[in-house]
Amino acid sequence: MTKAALLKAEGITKFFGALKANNNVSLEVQEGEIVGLIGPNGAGKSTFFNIIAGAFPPTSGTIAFQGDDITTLGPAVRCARGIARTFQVVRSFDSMNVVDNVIVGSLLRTLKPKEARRAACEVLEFVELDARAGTRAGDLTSPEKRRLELARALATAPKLLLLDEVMAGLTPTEAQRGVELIRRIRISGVTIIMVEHVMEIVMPLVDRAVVLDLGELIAAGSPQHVINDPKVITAYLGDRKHA
Amino acid sequence: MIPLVVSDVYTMNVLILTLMYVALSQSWNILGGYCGQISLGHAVYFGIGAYVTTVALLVVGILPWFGMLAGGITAAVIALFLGYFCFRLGGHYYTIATIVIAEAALLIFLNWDFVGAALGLQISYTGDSWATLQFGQSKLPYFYLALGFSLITWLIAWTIEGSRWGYWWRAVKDDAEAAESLGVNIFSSKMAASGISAFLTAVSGGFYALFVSYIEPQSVLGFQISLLIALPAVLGGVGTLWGPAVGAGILIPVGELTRSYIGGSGSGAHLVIYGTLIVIVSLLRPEGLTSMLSLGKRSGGVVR
Repeated sequence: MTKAALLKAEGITKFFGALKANNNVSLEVQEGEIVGLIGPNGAGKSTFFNIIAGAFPPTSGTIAFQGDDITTLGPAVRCARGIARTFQVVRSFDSMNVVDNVIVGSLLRTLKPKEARRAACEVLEFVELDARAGTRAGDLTSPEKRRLELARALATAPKLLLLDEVMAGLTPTEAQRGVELIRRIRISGVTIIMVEHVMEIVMPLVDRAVVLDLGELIAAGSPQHVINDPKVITAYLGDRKHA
Repeated sequence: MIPLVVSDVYTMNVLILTLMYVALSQSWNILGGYCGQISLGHAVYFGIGAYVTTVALLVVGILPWFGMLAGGITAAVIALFLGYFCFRLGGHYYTIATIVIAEAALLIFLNWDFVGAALGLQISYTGDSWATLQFGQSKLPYFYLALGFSLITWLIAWTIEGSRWGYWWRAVKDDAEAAESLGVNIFSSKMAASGISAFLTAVSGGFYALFVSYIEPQSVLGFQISLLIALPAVLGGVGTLWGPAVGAGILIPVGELTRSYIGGSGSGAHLVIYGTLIVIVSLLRPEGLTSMLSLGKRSGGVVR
């Protein structure tokens, strides 16, 4: 690949006390890709995800975005540079209505409230939540809240979107709508890294899957390649010899 | 107009104090209501405004107009200094810190001879004048000043509410981590809200000093001032434009009336009534009285 990577994480190691949550994980993401971050429970996916989002710094290693070192930058600055995220446990501004929630995001790119509102409405239409624009965020159903979170993140006009288990808790029909939405987001020119638990959802969607197990990167490549990798099968199903 | 039909001094006093608390509680609301940083130490800024205005007038001979401005700026600087340390504290710890700071300020002023220590400072009457803001004959000018200033604070809150700051501060209040992920700088949001809030509170403090023309530490820095600044917003509706006005319009007259009719010297009957009102409202209308009148929120309609 000749193009410089949009995101480049190198040698990310993270300790929580004595626990090594990430061990020397490196990842390059090209512009326009959808990368799936998978692995069994406790693999360190969320830790790695949060380090990319800037929620906490790595113990060692560096993160570069568009060629600039952003390792020490906080989440707000990263968002201004074009990295937006959603949360595993949905977070909405419950005292505000849906459109105001999204305006919080779109005000990052404009100072004019009117313009921000228009941008927010466009995003709400895009995620098919425009019918609920006047509803209090606290009154939304949980799949709607997931869409709202996505809308809010998109309103900051990100180049890289980090999705943390956005499909969790959705019915198969809702998940299918979610998959289509993520495809449309990619078509609109946003690069995506998604952490996902459910293999059936991630695999058809992503260009590349990265598998973590016990804090280490054990496999990376096309979904087909990855699911046939013996190390991945062992990580998910356990080692037959020791079973 | 009300002042034309209100002839007795007592009613006029209650009106002026009510308007002053409308402004004060709105100032508090900017930090506590919109940004979610609950301060129970706003007496610090009120007291600083009162003392700076008075000292500037008595010692240096600076006109109160500029004295109030100086008081506001001093309070804002102090708020930023305190915020620098305290805004790293989350939730209730911030509130506790504000109480402690206010108590410390009270002790300092009680023992500070330059500002009259426990005896306080007296502004002697030199004749009615809009320059020195002294009015001995009729309290009417103070009414207009208080009315004007409460309108100004309302307008400031209204402007903030519709601006980027307003949205970002409310986001910080609802969920700081989510706000941060959308590019909101939590720390500077809190600092800005705190600075504006302290400035406006101190201007009212300066006004109060001129209005009563005698200040001492307990009357401008005591904990009851911090409570009286916060309670109207809580009663009327925290983080709403009309909450502080509605709350102050009920609490202050009720407090003054019970103080003069039921409470003897030093008795706390008015505090019992405040407490009862707050308990009733928090049980029945946790979002404040304005949520009943739907005055609380600007309509969040969708622009097409």
